[in-house]
Amino acid sequence: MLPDSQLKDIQGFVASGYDYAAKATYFFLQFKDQKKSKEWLEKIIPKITTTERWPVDENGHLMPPKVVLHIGFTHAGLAAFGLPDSALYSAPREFIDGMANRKHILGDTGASDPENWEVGGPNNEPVHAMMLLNATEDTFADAYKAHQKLFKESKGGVVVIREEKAFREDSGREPFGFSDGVGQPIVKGLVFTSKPVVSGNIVNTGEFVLGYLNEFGVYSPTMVVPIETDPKNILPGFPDPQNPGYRDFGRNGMFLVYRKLKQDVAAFWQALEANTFAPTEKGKKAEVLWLAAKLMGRWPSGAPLVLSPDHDDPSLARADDFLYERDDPEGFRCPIGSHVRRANPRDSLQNISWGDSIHTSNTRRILRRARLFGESLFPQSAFSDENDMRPVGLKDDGVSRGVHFFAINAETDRQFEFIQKIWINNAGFNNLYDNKDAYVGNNENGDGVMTIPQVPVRRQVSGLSRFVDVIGGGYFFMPGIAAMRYMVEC
Amino acid sequence: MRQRDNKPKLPLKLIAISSIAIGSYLINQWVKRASYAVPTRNFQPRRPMPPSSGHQKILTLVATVKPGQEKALNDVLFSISNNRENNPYINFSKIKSIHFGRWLVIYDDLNGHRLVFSCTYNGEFEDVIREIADATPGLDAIWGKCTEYTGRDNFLDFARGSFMPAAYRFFAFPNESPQAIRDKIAIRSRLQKIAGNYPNPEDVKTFLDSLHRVSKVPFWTAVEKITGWLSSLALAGGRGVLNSVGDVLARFFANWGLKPHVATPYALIGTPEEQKKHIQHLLELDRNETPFAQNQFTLVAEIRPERYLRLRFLMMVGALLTDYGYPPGSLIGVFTIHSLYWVILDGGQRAILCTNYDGNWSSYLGDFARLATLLDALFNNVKGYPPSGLRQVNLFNSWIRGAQLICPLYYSAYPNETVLNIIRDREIAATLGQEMGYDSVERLLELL
Repeated sequence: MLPDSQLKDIQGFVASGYDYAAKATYFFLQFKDQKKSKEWLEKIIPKITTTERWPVDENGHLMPPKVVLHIGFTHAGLAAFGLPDSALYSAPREFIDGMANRKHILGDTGASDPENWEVGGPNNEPVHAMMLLNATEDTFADAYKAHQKLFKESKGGVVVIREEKAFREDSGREPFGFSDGVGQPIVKGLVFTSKPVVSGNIVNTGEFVLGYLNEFGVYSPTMVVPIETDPKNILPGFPDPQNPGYRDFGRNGMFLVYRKLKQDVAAFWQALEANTFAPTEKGKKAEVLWLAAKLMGRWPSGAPLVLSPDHDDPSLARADDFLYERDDPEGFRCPIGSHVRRANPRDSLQNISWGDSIHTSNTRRILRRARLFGESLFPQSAFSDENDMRPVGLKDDGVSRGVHFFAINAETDRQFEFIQKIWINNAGFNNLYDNKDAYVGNNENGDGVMTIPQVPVRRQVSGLSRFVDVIGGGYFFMPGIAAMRYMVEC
Repeated sequence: MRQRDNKPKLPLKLIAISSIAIGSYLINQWVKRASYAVPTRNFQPRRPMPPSSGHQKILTLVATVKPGQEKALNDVLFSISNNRENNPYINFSKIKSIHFGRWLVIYDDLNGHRLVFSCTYNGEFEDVIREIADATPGLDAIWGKCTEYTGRDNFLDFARGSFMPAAYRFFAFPNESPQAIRDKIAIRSRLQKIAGNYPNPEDVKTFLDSLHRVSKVPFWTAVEKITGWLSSLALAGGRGVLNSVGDVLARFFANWGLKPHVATPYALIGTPEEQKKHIQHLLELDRNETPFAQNQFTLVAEIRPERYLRLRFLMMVGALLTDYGYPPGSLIGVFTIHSLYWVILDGGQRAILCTNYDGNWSSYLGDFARLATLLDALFNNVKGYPPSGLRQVNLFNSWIRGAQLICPLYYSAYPNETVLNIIRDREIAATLGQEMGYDSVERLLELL
C-alpha cells in the first residue's frame, strides 16, 4: 500500500469506479485564456477526488465521497496552460499525436473513422480537457450547478464545448446485457490483499500510475519539466537522481483513454440468432445465449466459462482467479478467440512459454471504467428470468446507446493500443486464422467469423459485423494533484 | 589406494541413453515406412508432399545511390508500396521463390546513400536474380538510380558484384519454400470449407463413425508410438543440452561490459527540437507498419571495432544453435520470428540487422527473458547501445526505435500467416500424409 502522502496526490479514478455515484456528466473543455484557466483550475483542485482512504463512521462503515470529480488534459490542453516545450515534448508520442491520428493502430475504420466522430475527431472542436463529474442521485443536481457557476466565473476563460450525460444500471450491465467491469487487475499499491491469487492478477502500481515500478521492474516513461520552471519546489524529483536539472511532472499521474462506443444491440443478437439450429423458440433462446457467452468468454452474470462451461452461475459473477492454458488449453470451455481471452490472455499465449505469457499479459493490462448512454433495448433482468425475455426477435428502435469506455494505463502504446491492435483486431491472434474479436473487433464487411472449439469438430459462427462503433474519443493525461498545482503556477 | 570401480558410470549411462535414442529413432522410421505398406480396407496410401526446394537462403544487394537521387528512389519505392496490385514497376504475382523482401535506402557519412534490397528465398542465386528481373519491369527505375547498375542485361553481374553475405541467420522453417507454405495454407482452407459444411456437430459424428473401421495393426502402432516418444525425447534432450550451453555463453557475453542495474526514471530529455525530431521518427515508424500479419525490422548498427571478433564468435555460436538447437518455428522459445539475420558491411564497420516477425516487434520486446540475453550479448558490441541493455526496457526501446529505419517497400509471400499458423498447417498437412485412423482424424478436426 502506498503511503498516505502519495494517495492524496493520485486521482481516485484509478482506485474505484465509484459505482454508487451512478449519475455522471462529462464536460469537454477548451481553455481560451491562460490566466483565467489557471484561476479556474486553482478552484477545481481541492474538489478533485483522490485515492485517499475513505473515512469510517462510528459504526465502522466506510463513507465514500458523494460527489466525485476527476480531470484529464489532452496535449493541447497542457500546452494551453503554458507548460514549457521541453516538458510538452517529453510526453509519449501517442499522447502528443492524439487518438484520432492513431486510427490505423486502433482499427477505427469505416463508420468508426474519426471523421465521423461526435467528439475528439478532426471535424470537431479541439478538446483541451475532459472533466468527469460523478455523483449520487441526491447530490448530483447541486454539484452540477456549482460547476456551471465556476465555468461562468471564468468569464470565457474555460469553455464547455460538449457535455455527455451518462448513467449506470443498477444491475451493472452494459447494453448487450453482460455484466461490465468484471475481471479488473488488482493494483498492488492501492489495495490490501491477503488471499493468494493463482492467476497472477496482482499488478505492479507502475503499470497504471507513473512514478512507481512497473511489471518490468522499471519506471514507465514520465513527463519532466526543467527545474528552473518550478521555483516553489512543487514537483518531486526522481527516485534515483539520474536526471539533474529536471523534475517529475508525471509522478502520480496516469494516461486515460476515452472512447464513446455505440452498440448495435439488435444487430448483434440478430446475427447470433441467424447462427442457431434449435427448432423451438425456447431452444433458440438458450442457444443464442450460449453462443453469446462463447463469444464473450463469460456468461451475462459475469461467471467465467472456464469455471462454469455449461450454464450461467451468478454465484461466480465476480470470479476472476483462473487460468486458461492450465484449465482449458484447447478452448473447449472458453474459446481462444473470445473477448475476455483476447483482452487478457493470462497464461495462454502460444507464441511464448507459459510463464512468459503471464508476464506479457500483465504488462498489457488496463483498468476499465464505464458508464452508459441511451436507454436499454430490453430489460436488464431478461437473462435471469427463466420464463421470458431472452433476446430473440429483437428489432432496432433507432436509439443511440452504448458505453462511455475509459481505460487507465501508464503506457498507452504498450497497453491499450497493443491490446487493440495485436489482440482484439488481429485475425491471427494466438494461432487463429480469421477471427477478430466478435464483440468489439472491426469486422467491417459483415463477414466476420468466430471459432468455437469443440469435439468432434469446431463450430463456426459467421456473418458477424462491427457491432460496436467508435463515435468519439481522446487520449488524456490525469496529472497528480501536485502536478496540477504546478500547472497553476508555471 | 582409492577405489576406482564405480567411476566410469556417467559415460556408460550417456552411451546407453544415446544408443536407446538412436535405436528408437531408427525403429520408428522403419515402422513408419513399413506401416504404409500394409494396405487396409478403406485406406489408400497418399502421395507424399512435394519435396521442399532446399534450405532457405539470404540475398542482400547493396548499391550506391547516385548523388541527389535518393529522394526520387524513395518516392518510387513508396509508390509501389501504395499500389501493390497495379504499379508499373514490380509485378509481385510473378515472384515465386521469395519469402520476405525489403527495399530501403540507408545512409552513412562515409558511403553516402545506398540502396539495400534484402530477401529470404529458396533456390539458386542465379534463378532468384532472374526471377526478380522478370518480375520487375521497373528495374531501371529502381536500380537505375545506383551507380553500379549498367542495365537490365547485366543485372546478374550487378547482383554478383553488390551481393553481401549474411553473417548470422535464423529461419523458423529453413526447409519450407514459399510455395510449400502456400500449398499448406490452401490444404487447410479447403479442409476448413469441408468442415464448414458440417455446421451441426451431430452430422460429423456419422462421418467419424464410419472411420472407426480403419485401424492400424495394433502391435506395430504401439511400437511406432513408443519409439516415436523415445526419439522425440532424445531430440528434446539434445536440444536442451545445446540450449543450455548457448544460454550460458549468451549470459556471459551479455553481462560482460554491461552495467548490472541502472534504475533510471526515464523521460525523453533534450532540446525541444531533438525531442520533436525523435517523436516524428517514432510516428513515422508507426505509419510504416504493414497491414500484413508480419512486419519487418531493419537497423544499421556501427560495430565497435574492438568487439568485432567477439561479435563474429557469438554469431557463429548463434548459427550453430539455430541449426540444431531449436524446434521448428522457435527462436529460444519465441514463436513469432520468421527470420532474423545480420549482414556485415564495409569490412566489419557496420552491420544491417533484418528481421521478419509477427505483430509488433517493439511492443513484444523485453518480454522474453532468454531472448533478451541473446540480444544483449549481440547488441552489446554495437555503438550507442545503452549500458543497461535490455534491463532498462525504456532506454533500450528508445535506442532501438531511434535506430530503426523506415522501410518504404516490404513484400511478404504469405501476408496473413503467422509462425504459429505455419506450424499448425504443417501438422494438418502431415496428418493427411499419414494413414487416416480415428485418432488422426480427430486430431485433424481439432486443428481446423
